[in-house]
Amino acid sequence: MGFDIFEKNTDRNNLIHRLDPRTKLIFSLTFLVLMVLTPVKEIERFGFYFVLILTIIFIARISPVYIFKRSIIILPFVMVVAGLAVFFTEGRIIKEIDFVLFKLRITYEGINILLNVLVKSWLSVVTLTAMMLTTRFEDLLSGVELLKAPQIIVLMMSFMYRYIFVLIDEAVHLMRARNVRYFGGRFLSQIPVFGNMVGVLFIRTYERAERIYAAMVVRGFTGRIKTVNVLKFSFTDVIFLMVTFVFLFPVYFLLTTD
Amino acid sequence: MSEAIKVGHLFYTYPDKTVGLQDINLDVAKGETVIIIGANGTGKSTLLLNLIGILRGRGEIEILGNVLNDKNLRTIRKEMGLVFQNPDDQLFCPTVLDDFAFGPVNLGWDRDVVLQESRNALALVRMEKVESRPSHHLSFGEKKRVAIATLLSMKPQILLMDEPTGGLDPRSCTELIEILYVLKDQGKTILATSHDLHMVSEIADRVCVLSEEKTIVADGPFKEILSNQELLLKNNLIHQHRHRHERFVVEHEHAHLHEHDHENRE
Repeated sequence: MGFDIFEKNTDRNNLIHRLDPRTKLIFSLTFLVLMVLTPVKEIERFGFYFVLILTIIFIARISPVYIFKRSIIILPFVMVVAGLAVFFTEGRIIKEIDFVLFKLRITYEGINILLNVLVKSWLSVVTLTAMMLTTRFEDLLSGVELLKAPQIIVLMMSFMYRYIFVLIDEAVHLMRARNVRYFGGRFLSQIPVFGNMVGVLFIRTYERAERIYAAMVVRGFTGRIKTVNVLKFSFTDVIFLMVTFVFLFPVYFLLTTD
Repeated sequence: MSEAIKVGHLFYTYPDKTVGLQDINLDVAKGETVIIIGANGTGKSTLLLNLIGILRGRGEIEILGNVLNDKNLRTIRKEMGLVFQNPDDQLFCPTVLDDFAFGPVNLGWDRDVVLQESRNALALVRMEKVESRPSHHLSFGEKKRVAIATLLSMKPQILLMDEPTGGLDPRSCTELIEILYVLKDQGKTILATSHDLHMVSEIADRVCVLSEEKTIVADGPFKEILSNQELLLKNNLIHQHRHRHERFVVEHEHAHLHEHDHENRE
């Protein structure tokens, strides 16, 4: 397990990959804000948003199927959170399910909330996945820093990215060690074992993270993220932002169905 | 010869009150290769971490004339690099080149110089072809070489190496020793820890023995130290066991890969 899970596809050479990370950040943030502010009933506008992102994915020559597969991971979480709104939001009742002890009412407003959260969160994940797959994380951090994001946020992102793999590595090692000595048995008896493993995982990860931090410090790390790649905001970046915004803003501000 | 490293009465105790080092006194001259040998848990890594200021013990440490303190830490770390025992701790960037660039970029070097020095260091350890590969895809031996090269790209005068040959197969071990020869020829000061007596006999100018009491009990030319069987046996660096030479089974002090005579086999 390693960086390739996120760094896959980032070394390609095409228009989207070559864009300055700041351009991608500005576009993604603008896109997300406008998309989130759009009422979910504006189906045409969401259709446009989807086509815009799909076009970018095609230009970046990344398999849309790959991105969609990765983006599906968000759906169970959204369903758990927003799914309950279908039954517990007051409003026009579409269907009433009568259980012996209680009644569940599915409301129009509840479904509206579910769709609102579902569509927007999924499109957000697709957008951010596309950005991650076309930009090296180090460059993205440099971009965030150059856009004057607080240093503490940049550092937290950096360390999270570095240490998440440490955590996964240690967890894999622990699971392997457990599996070679596990010959089946009752699930309940395994619960204390998992509890111990989580504790050990925490301590081992902490110690490993300390060693990695030491390795960073002895090579001059002082709390600022620096990369050998020099970011250049070029004419292409300006054109990309202009073209996408020329489509994006009129769609948001002008094409209303009201 | 002037001193590159000077340690006087260094003590270190871990936060859980375990003694890490006891009254360590050590001088390493510029250009000298000193190997600290000792059994597991004798404080070899702890000593190196103290020398580079990751751990802070009690006592005097001077690196190239600079007293180790917060004020001089950056200067010292520019001139002295540490190769960690586990290369996975040292290689934390997405690609090998990123790992090379990490130190020089933090030192504020120009991009072209960083790339040039990184490529020079890769050439020195014969790893030119792995530049754009993810570090975690390399073999253990390759990782060790890359870990050394990440320091060389910073052009330090002093190299601290924690068990450089630990976990390496014989060929990787020989390749690494060849790299150390080149570094010696370049005049680098090398202070390494090891319990690989073969490596010690190959590259050491001087050997120090750390005992289980966490202190240096012997310091001298490698021939003198390695020929002192009683000292090595006492400090768990060689052991006594039975083994077979042709049809004879003999029992004597023995360190694998360390030459020994067979005159008593009858």
